[in-house]
Amino acid sequence: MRRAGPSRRAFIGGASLTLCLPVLEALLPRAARGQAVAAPRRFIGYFVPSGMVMQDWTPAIAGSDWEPPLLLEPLQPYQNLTTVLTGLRNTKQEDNLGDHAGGTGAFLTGRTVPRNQSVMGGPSIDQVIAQYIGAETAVPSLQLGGEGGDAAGSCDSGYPCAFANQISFSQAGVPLPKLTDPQQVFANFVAGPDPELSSAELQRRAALELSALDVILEEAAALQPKLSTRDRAKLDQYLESFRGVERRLQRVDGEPARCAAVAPLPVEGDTQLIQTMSDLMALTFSCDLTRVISFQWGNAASNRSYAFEDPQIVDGHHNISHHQSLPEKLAQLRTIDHWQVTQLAYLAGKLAEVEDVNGKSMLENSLLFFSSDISDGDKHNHDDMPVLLLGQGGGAISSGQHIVYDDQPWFANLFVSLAQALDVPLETFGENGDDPLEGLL
Amino acid sequence: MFLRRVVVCRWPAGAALLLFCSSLAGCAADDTPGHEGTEPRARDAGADAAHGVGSFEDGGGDAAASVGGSASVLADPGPLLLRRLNRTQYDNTVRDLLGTELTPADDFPVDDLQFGFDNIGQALNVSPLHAEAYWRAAGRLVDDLFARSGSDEYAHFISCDVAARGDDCAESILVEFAGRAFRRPVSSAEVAPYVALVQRGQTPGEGLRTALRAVLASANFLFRIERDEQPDATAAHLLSGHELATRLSYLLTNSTPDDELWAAAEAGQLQQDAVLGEQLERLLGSVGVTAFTADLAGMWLEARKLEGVERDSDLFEQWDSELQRAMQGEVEYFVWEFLRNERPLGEMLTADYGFLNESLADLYGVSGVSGQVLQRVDLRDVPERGGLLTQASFLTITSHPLRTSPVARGRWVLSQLLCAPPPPPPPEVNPNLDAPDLAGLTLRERLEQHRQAGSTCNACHAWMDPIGLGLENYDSIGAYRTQDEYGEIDASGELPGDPPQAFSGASELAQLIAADPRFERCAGQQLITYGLGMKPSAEQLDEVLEAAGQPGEVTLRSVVRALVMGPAFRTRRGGGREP
Repeated sequence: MRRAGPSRRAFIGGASLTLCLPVLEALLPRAARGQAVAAPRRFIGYFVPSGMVMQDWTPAIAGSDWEPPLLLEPLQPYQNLTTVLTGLRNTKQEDNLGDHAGGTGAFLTGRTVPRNQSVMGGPSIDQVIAQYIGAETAVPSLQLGGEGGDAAGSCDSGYPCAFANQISFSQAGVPLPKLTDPQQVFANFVAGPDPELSSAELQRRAALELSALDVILEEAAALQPKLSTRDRAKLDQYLESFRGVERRLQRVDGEPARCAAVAPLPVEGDTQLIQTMSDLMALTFSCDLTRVISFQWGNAASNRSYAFEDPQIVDGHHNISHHQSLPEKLAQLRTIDHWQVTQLAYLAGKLAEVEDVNGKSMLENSLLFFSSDISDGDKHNHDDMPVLLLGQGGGAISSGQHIVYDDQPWFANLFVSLAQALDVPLETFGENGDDPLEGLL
Repeated sequence: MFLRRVVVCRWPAGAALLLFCSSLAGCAADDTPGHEGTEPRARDAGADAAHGVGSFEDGGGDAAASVGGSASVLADPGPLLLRRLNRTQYDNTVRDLLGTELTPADDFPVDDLQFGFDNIGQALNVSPLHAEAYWRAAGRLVDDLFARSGSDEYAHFISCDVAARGDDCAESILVEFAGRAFRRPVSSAEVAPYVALVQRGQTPGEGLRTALRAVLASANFLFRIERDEQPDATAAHLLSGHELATRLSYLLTNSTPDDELWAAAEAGQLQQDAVLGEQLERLLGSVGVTAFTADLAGMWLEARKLEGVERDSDLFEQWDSELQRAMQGEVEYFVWEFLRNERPLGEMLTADYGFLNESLADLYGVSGVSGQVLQRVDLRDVPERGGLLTQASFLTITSHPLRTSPVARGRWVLSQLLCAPPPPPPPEVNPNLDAPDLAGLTLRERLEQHRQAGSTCNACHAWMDPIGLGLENYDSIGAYRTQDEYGEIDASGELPGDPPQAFSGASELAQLIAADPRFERCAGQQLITYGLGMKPSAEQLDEVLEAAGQPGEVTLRSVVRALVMGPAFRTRRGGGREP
């Protein structure tokens, strides 16, 4: 295990780049240094599109002695930190249309998506968690992904593309777009201020920027009474978002979070892309820039080409996912699914190799929820979802089990449990999360 | 005077309109309600009576009165939503405002499409990620302006020495800068908080940069603000001249108002029909309008999708990125041509000319075109080419890498040209047209088998497939062919309707669509959706089409004109019914 420290260097994404990892401890409050401290808890919501080949996903037996089926094999090194949950349901659309957009918008929200609005009825679980554990970091939460948006056309069944392209939604239900280019992540969040500048100078500049933000925030607030109700809601989004910039600047106390000095090189190909994004997730956790991340590898009904993995796969992912039980298509889907879990294992490895302040690995201290919009690409069913958790959330989850639920609990029930595992006092969530999930905590 | 007219009923009540399946249940049923918001509404006798919706001639006055009366339903501008600048608009705006070559929106998150467009108010939300990116971009843009101290823009905005002349100088700079950035006049009082920032810098120069940065992150810059002095009033009121200038400018150039339009707004005359009409015609004739036609080509006709198309150059020898760009350019030029010239919309299907460069001409089998530049080419002697249906863009974006997709082509015609998209396939019935047991059958036979296989599929595929099968003479990059791997191509098809109309080949299909009233209506709907940033109501669509000309004579330009000169574009309301 590698301890996070100033002289250590992390290798980013096969893109031949080394980055400095900062001293994690230095980022903790002064009072906490040198004492036994509780490690930060962290959350990742991890989405892959169009389901999994379930017969190669679900372990044969429940309990802790399960053998990983083909698709879970890549996670074998972390099996004691993996929890497989079978029998859960994702929320679906009532009109039986838009299974992909519906399942994607519902993925972290536990809500049905509206047909004629671009705003959800409530927040996603990562944002609820971020309100608590994200408040202590410069960036309360990060939204990352592997696919931007289409240049033209309509999204699934004419649903607003907001629900195909996003899995995170603010308290007000506003879609939170994701960054899909590692260099954008670097430029916007990771780079930090000019290292040549003194703490005093950084603080002076931050104060000046804060005065400027005061001006535009006051101006926007004064504008509200002159706008229609529906326009006021848009301006609220502006105010809330710029207050986030304000909160970040207010944290500049002479020791700004500074994750890395060198930008990642442009990535080539999807493997480099997902691995560089995974490196950035591990990096932003280890330098405590953020503690909450959502990661959407593909948009709803993504038709990504996996010919890079196997030249025989000429069609796109979504097309193949309508496999009709044809052996050839199932084989191709298996290849795609296996690749996706392999990349998840890559991220697990990155988190596992960093030692956290409490001596445990960052993977143990984190909690990662992995699933999809639907279960089977051909059936489009939202029950029997492929769900797994990585990590223990600092010990709250007794990992390593395969738990089978017969009563079809909702994702939202799981989210209540996950929030509680992270010490977020949540009793209910979404449209149908009235209780926590049994047997998990 | 566009608005003072007799409303003619263009859609007779009970007109035999094609009804399409618009829900999953609709696939199995025979007929279901038409596509939401696209059905013409039969008018009652009262609505048919002459009811001028009022002139905006006096450029002010009581808007509620001038658009009210018996036409109050028709004159409802609808619940238009505050629109933030999308990525293209942001880059265009800072280019025109500051003369910068930076394209900061490259670092912004993507704008979600809704109704097929990227400028829909509802979908243009603001997130914390946007705020961080806007704040960074504003800083970069100001630094960039100061790095170009010899530029016209620097000279224009940084018009005095703030270090020497203090607050007076800062105020004059900020009044001008914020005015142009906010696209309306601003008062000294309004910029006072910005002027105060100048003093807070370590130097006046740093303070000024900070103030300018704040202007570029202001809601007044990032949104196209339209004020409702009575936010809850349900009656429509006129936009201010500057608000109208902003709408016009973003519609036609996807950017901030130019000097001439700004001057017209400043003069307080833009709500006058003559002045507005003059500015409209001027901008329609400007090169800036190519931003508009590129968006229409890119999103209505989906030519942007070419950017994501991949083809194996071993199988398609002509395929390369230059050909790909030419395909996209052809559609953009084609739309521009229709906007410039008053050609009937139906001619977009039947045109006997195209815009080709050498490589596209090679693909089309047209001789005598050389060079990379797209040029207008006479296609009268090339019967298999002419019009949207034979353009490589449409034919390519609706094909698979290895074969054409008659289903996708039929679907595209229905959704993009007739605004009647069929629903997506239900689960577990998706076709596998490449399945081994279908080997030896032609694509036509495979699709027939598929339609027979499940009656749930047939209802929708009976609409889509016969359209696409009629276009089988064009391969998956749009090259003409008379044979495919199964032999001679049978290009007979059927355009669904009441009654369905049989045709053979692209040019006969083009004639049918060109004569189909649904096409004109659909083109109008697409354009108005883009222009208002929301889906128009059926009444608004009727209103604009009525003003745009007799059926069969409507042109792209007449739709734009009718939209801009009409109440939906020139008025707004704060309260009232939501979408």
